[in-house]
Amino acid sequence: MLYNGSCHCGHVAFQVEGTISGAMSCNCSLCQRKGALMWFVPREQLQLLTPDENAGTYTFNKHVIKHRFCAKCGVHPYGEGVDAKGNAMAAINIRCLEDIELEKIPVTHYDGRAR
Amino acid sequence: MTDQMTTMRGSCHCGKLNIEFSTAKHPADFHPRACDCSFCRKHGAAYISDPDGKLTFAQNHAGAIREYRQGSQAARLLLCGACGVLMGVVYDHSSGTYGAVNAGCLDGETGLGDAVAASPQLLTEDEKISRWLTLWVPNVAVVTRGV
Repeated sequence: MLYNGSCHCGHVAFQVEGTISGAMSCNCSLCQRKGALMWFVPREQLQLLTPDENAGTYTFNKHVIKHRFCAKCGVHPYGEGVDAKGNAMAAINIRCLEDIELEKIPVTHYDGRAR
Repeated sequence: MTDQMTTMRGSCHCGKLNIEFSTAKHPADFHPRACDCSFCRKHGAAYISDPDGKLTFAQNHAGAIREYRQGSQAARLLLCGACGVLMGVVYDHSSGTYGAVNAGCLDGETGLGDAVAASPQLLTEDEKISRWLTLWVPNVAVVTRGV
């Protein structure tokens, strides 16, 4: 399934390929504020439709995950990182996807605050 | 019930913006309003306010707050330009500035009640403004100061 996604103002837009089996919510200091529901996919399944630099980059704690956000509307559409095997991954904020029923997607909770 | 005000504090993630929200209400009596408009859904935002409270948004340097308008364009959404976090919303009325806090920005274990769904997008613009003037904190200050 190919999904279209964007921030609110459209300055950051993308397509992502895959099957959403669920999403993760996290209670860490950043996720609590940005309210993201994350779906993890290999980075190559995320294709940006707008220039990479349209998304600002924010890092914190160990500075290994790039939290990408729109500088105009503040929405965090995706993050970029590397999994334990060294594969480039993307965390898609499914709140930013079109044509999904957000309430029907099972959400697991991750205790990021304790990490 | 006591009239004693307590102050809830909060910030964006990088700390350039801060919030002070003073209220006599007990935290558990606040039920953050999870707005279902396209903007608030993407931010996962849910708002609290108290018409008898006090609210200050502070930025640590001029220009740290980024403003965004959407929908009816009437309200100003206040964001951090450096980390993207949504702090809250204000509306400038002839009787002063009214505002509400994005509850996710408050520090620590807030003890707030469960969030409730809200659909202000179903209201007309006049109804929306009337709702803001009733629910939101009046006389909101937006200031620049060191932290």
